[in-house]
Amino acid sequence: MEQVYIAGTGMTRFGRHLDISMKEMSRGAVEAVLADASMSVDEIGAVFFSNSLAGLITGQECIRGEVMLYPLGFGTVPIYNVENACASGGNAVHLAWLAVASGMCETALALGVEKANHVDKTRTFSAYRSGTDIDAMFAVGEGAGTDRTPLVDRQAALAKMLIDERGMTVEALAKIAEKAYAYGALNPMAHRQEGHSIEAILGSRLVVDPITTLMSSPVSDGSAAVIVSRRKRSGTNVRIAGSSMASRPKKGQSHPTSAEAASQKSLAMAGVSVADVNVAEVHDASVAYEVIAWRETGLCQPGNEYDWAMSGHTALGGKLPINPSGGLVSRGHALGASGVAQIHELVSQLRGISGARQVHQPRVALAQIGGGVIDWQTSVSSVHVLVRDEAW
Amino acid sequence: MTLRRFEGKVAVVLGGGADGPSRERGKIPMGNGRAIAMRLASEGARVVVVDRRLDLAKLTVDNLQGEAHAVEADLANIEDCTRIVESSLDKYGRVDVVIANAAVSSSMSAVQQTVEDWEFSNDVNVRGHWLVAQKALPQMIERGAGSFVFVGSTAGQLSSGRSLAYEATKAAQLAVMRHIAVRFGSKGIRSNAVVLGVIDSALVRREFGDSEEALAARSEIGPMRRQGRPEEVAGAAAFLASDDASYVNGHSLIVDGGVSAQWPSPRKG
Repeated sequence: MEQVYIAGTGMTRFGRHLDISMKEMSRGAVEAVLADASMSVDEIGAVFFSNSLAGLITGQECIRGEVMLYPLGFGTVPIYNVENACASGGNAVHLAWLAVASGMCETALALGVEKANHVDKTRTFSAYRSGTDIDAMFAVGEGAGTDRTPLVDRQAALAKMLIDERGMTVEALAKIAEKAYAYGALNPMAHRQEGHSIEAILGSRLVVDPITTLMSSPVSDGSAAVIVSRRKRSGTNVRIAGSSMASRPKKGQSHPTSAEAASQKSLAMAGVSVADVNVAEVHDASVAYEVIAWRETGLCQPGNEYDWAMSGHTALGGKLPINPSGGLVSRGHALGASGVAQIHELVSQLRGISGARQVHQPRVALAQIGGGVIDWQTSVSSVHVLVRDEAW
Repeated sequence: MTLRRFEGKVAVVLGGGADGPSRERGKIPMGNGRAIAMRLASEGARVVVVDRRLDLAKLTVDNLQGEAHAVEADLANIEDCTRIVESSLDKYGRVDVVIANAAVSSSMSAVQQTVEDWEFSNDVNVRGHWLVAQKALPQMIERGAGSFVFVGSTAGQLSSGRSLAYEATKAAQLAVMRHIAVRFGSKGIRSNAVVLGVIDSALVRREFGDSEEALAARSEIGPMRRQGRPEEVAGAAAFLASDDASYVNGHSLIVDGGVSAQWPSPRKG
């Protein structure tokens, strides 16, 4: 297999962008990534376009990528439409990696764009519902899918499990959210940049006990893009050392989860262990998910979650900074773009250009994102391991 | 038939370096923790032998049949307690069985009892066991299986009037055992205790003496007219830890040769 380098990354600010079209968001991320890679459209050999909800929000169900990229001057290059709920972006990066690693093309673009907000909020919440098996909806409380995304009900169940079985507390969950907002406040691309105290997080509206609005990611619109290539870029290079996806285990089995399987595979592919990881971006659709991800990626042993939350273990300057972008909770969660935005953040960290959010000289970074729920488990996860070979 | 009930499992044995009176040539001195570690290893467990004295833990590791790893830790030290499970997870990736065996004993009545001794007894006999369980439980719950065996004492159920702190803390230890059994039974966790009478171990010899007279006096107190041996404790503990006890939960298995079954009956004049 070919060595795959990240030639460039770029994104637009996540937010509630009712007045910005998907085409405009696509243009923003593509222009940013081409500029970062010093490339032109003509150098792209394949495009993997990730989006989850356009069909349900705007009605553009078919040929989404082709429609968004046509105005940007992409010619006969193949455009693959990728959908895997919240994991769509990770899926697109994985396929772009595969296209280059396999030798199919020299350079590929992963572009994630999401426009999830709609003037009619129930349309958005109802669209999120398709991230589950709609024939076998998991048990949710009244109002799921109309006044909230039904996935919050699972987040709340996971939060209760963390409290009952791992020793977490509601305050520790709020502390993780506080950290997310502190870094989001330093990230000009973040949806929520205003920062929130633990008191404000605990005092915000309770969505499903114990999850409050400020413990959950917002519904974001936005775009992110990554160009991968066999060719090294000038300056510091970051390569994709491990890339994989995995699905939910068979019915009746609980392990390995999709995130456990993908993480083990990507780390093995990269030839590194969890102890080598210096910075990570993990899926925090809510802070409960973040804590679950610590464990499922193998970074944290079960039972250490409370200590990690309270001791600053995952903060900048801690032993393993996690979600320095602010994560989905603060940077925002634009479904099709979130997994790509994680790569954008980690590449910036590995290149050393993250400014006030810079982790101290990282060499190995891990990105994990999950998508959808089938029978109470995340239905798909992707994990990427990025490595900077050059000395600091 | 040789039992292999712990094949593929990892056991943490607290106080696994426990020794005892010297044995005939070629055999190492045997205390309860050591005997349990050796029994579990002989049945296929990989054993993390934890002791305050690393040399004693290593002696156990060197003499058991199978794979084992010695860890120096003092149960009176909070950080040591939290480190024990982590070292097992680092080494073997899991903990299936915890043998909560480590205790200190004094001999002060309610009048003589000091606060320092009370707290030290609580730190080792109760808090240390809980802290280790706290770290072991999450990964057991995640796997849906795990077994605790607390090495308790009849002093936790009946009083000899000898040591307030020991009796109180051994009773509290059984409460910890029952709490885990009840709270986490639905998660596939079992928690039980062996409740020991007079076993011929180093701790008992330290507390009650090892002269011929003292040994004879201890033998006389029960219907079997002898003290128990650490290997006999190990057999009971291994049963509770194993799947043979798959529906035994929250149980205190008395291993005292029948001492506590007796009732002092008046003799005919």
